[in-house]
Amino acid sequence: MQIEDSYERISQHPDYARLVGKRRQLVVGLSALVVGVYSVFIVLLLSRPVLLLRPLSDESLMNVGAWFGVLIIVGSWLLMGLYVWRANGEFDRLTHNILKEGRP
Amino acid sequence: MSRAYALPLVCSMFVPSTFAGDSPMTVIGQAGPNLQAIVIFLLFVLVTFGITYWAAARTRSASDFYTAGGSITGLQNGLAIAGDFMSAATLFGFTSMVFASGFDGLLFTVSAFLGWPLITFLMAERLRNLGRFTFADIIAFRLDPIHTRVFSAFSSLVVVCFYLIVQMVGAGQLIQLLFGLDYVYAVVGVGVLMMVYVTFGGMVAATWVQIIKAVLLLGGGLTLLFLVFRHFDFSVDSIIRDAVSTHKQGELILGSLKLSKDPVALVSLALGMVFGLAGLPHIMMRFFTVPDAKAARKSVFVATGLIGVFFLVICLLGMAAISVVGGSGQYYLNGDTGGTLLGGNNMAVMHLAQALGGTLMFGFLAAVAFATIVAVVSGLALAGASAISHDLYANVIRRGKVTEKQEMRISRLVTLGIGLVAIGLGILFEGQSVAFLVALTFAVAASANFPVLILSMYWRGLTSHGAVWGGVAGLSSSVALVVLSPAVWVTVLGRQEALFPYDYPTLFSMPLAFAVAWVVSVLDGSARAVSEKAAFKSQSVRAETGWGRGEVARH
Repeated sequence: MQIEDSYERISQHPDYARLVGKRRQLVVGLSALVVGVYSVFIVLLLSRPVLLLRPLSDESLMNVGAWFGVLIIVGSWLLMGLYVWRANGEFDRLTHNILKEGRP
Repeated sequence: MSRAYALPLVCSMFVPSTFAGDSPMTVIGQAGPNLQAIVIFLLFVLVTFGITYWAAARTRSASDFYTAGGSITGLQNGLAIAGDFMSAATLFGFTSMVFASGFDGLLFTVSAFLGWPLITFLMAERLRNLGRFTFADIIAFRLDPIHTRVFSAFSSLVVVCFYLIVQMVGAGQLIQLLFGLDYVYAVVGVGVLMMVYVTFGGMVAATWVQIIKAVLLLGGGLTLLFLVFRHFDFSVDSIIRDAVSTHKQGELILGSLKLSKDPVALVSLALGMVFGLAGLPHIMMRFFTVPDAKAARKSVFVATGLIGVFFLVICLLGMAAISVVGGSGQYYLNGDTGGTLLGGNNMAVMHLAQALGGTLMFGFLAAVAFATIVAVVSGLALAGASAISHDLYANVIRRGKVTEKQEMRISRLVTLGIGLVAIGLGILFEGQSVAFLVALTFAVAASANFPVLILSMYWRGLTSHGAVWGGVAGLSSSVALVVLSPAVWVTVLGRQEALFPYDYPTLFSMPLAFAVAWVVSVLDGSARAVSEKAAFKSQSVRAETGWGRGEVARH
């Protein structure tokens, strides 16, 4: 029962709700962005393939589709970086506070 | 038509060499055993044995054995995760896909990549805070520890076994092809090496083998890319221009040739790849090998970066191979550039290495391919061993009343057992068409492991009955649908017409698993279900903050 109590106490900590809320906002936003961009890629591929075949510029042979693919790989990695940066800084500080003050 | 096309694509993606009976099984590159390759590989074995000897002294507790005692740094673990994911099959399969159809290969790569950011956002934190050795730890956190563990151990073992068969058969054929060694020797060699690494050195050795191999594989890929750029005057445009003028489909390779013609297959395949990743036990295990959550997040970030680089390199190598290899009859059977590549169509990147870097580059890549298979098999064996000894033996049979010494002894014995089973399966499936097992592995991971795992993390209402029934529904439906699909029903069993039209079941089996888990949980009115739902609150505190993890992490 003591363990249950300690969980209860942690969840009452004022920073707990902040941590959960902020993280949820970030995670939902980033996941939706990644899935959204990929879905646009697939939908364009299925409905407007000609658009993806257009070269990005007159000199370059790489077309919009290829750039789009590269963008998804590089972009989603950068978004991961954003997540890791916030989780390892801001969120970990909040967690640390909660755990420190949560001890009996 | 498009379906018939899409399957060989995926198969070739993970399976090192072609399993079609018509592919020529001759040594390529040169006649007789490939000396450079053998010497480089023996060096790798020597170094990794040294590491295993060093690691054995550091493997004293169960936690050392399963998770290297959480002593791997973020950067090291990142390399190891990347290594677990970048198999020899990825190198050969992805390049050959781009080689065969240009843009479709890129589309595939992008889909395979997408799982990484998603598991980081949705699962990394919770996996780390709730789990200890296996992903069953997370499911069993508030649910019935006996039934859910039996289920998760079983479905982990199914995934591990299928993947092992693919790797062993691929290893045998590949090594026969590249080294000129006999199939059976190759299979036994892989099995014995794995047993030595894992039994003596546990996770520490498996991790370092994986790190070394990841560095070699990336190094090899980047060196080859440099040779490609030198050949093409450092211009991506000239790679593309030559590819378009050589490929028989011409400019069409710059768009999706066939994958986009069958949206259902495409979506089902993408779902399987993205969520299958989140259900592969040997990948999940890597979240527990680092000291804290910070290092865990950093390691997935590093891993994903390396995988991204590797994928982009591979796309360029594949494009370059279209003109360098595809334009030269010497790499084809009977010199016919419209026909099959020597050694099978998966060998495009090996021929590219031969063409631009000579026998040394060829030998190096061949050795790295062998090392890669050994490393991936070691990771799989460790995941299988932890499912049997930690989940089934320690927690189910002995109900947690077991000493570290006993648990470790069992896990070492199990590792030896898995090695023997792997060798046996490799020999049993010699010459068989096992490519469908790749689709099946990912489908089972996405349909049985992933739904139960994600529901137990996020949905208060999940009960033990719901978890087990949902998982069983996903497991059995994905296996059944693959058996009834064209790949098995027609190609393997030789029937006239497939009973299920798609080769990838995930679009159907994954939602089924979610639906069954939901219905059973909602209908579950038992006292046990009520207390399981009540326990969700404590679980979420632990999942969000890691509170209590320290206490539980000790026996």
